[in-house]
Amino acid sequence: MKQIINFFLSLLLVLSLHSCSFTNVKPWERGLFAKPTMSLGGHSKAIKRYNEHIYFSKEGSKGGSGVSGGGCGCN
Amino acid sequence: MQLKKVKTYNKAFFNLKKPFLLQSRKKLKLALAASAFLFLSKPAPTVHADEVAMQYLSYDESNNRVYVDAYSFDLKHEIGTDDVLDFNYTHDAVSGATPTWSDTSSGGSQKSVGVVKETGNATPIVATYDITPFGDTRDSADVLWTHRFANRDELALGVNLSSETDFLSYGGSANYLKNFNQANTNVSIGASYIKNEVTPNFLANTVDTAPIVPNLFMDTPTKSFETFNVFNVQGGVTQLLTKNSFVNVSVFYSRESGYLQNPYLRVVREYNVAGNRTDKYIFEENRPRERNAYGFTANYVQELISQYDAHLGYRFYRDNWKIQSHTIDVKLYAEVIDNFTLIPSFRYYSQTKAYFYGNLFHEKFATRYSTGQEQEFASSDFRVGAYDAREYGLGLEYKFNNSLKVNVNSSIYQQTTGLRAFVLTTGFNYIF
Repeated sequence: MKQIINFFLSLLLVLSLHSCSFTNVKPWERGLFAKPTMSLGGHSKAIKRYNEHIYFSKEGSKGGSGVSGGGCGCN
Repeated sequence: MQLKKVKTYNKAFFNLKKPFLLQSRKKLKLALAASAFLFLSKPAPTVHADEVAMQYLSYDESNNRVYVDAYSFDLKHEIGTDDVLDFNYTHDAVSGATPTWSDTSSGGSQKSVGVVKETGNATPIVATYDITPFGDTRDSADVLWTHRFANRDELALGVNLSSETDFLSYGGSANYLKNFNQANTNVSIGASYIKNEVTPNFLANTVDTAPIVPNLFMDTPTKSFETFNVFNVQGGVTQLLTKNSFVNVSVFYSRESGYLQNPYLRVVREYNVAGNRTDKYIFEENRPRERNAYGFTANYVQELISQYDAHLGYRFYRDNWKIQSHTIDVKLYAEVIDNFTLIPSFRYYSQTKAYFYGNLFHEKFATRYSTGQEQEFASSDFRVGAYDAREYGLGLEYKFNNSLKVNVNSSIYQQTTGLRAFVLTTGFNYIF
């Protein structure tokens, strides 16, 4: 756990320190990010949900894909 | 109409002669301000972008082990400009056959690895690892309400319900997203709590009415109702890197407590008894009643060239069952022809085994017990064993117009455990 926290805090620090070097993207330059194919979950929520369900029911680890959504009796 | 009025004012403003301009500037400013006020105070035209989507899934494991048909319905409804309601309903039907231990000493066909109970009796009881058909359906629904504040921060609250013949799950979630750095950076934190109820039933004939080894060494399956709870928390940062790329890093922690085993799985235990004899017994699997997991994800998204968007993701996971996993996801959205988007993808997954896992399918459970250690943790579930998995996918999306899109996606998912499945999904999105 400590390693993860250290990694995350380090990353936050790096992002903070380098935020000035990132291009400051203006609101009118962000049209691309509204495309479904640029969203983190991909172009279809339903497909993502199906895939997550398959991995959840066939693999021994889960998590990291958000907090919403329900359970399943696939233990 | 109001915009035209403002333009007219501007035109008049620039056509005025300077002296008049100087004298009338104050009045004009007032008029423009009044015009702007009227424009702004008018109720903003509501721009609805509601969306409905339906998706079908077919999941087919090799050797007819498991077959799933699923149908999902999604509705996204925008309420004004600040609130969004997402609703999902999914129905799935699963059927197939699952291997389980059964008593065949009464004359049934003995076609698998025999397990002999030798203690005391001259006549051993023989059990075999056999295939038992099963079927079940699941209905689930969840609702997510997202509210955008004036500063464009977001709060999302969700509830969910899932029901099967032997399982009920219900819970809620909350997530807050805060923008920084002119929304070039956002930080989100969320948590969820899910309560689950397990009522084993579909192997009742095997489990309840015909105990596999009806003696005190059998962990009699009397558990007719069990519960377990899941608490999740996740925090993440998303940073825009350029006009066409961003990165997201998240950490997560989950805590499961209660009945975490599969009520239908059995294990074979070997006991060293007096002398040199080793006896073998069949028990229900037994897992720890608590599982704490943590990990992180890192995702990078970039438009490589126009209409070619690439996703790269990694997840690290670890829990107190000693399972550690790594997941790599790669996906490309390539609009190769106008309105046709090809979606090739690849996923690699690798995990280590839980400390209590034994490959009992082949009866090579190395752990030896002494009488009285029946409650030692043990599981033969391949999902808590060590293996790798690969998934190769290819999807196609066609955009009819700005409202309607259809998709078809297929993938082959295979594990080094031997599991191999073909997955097909197809559906549409309609914006109205």
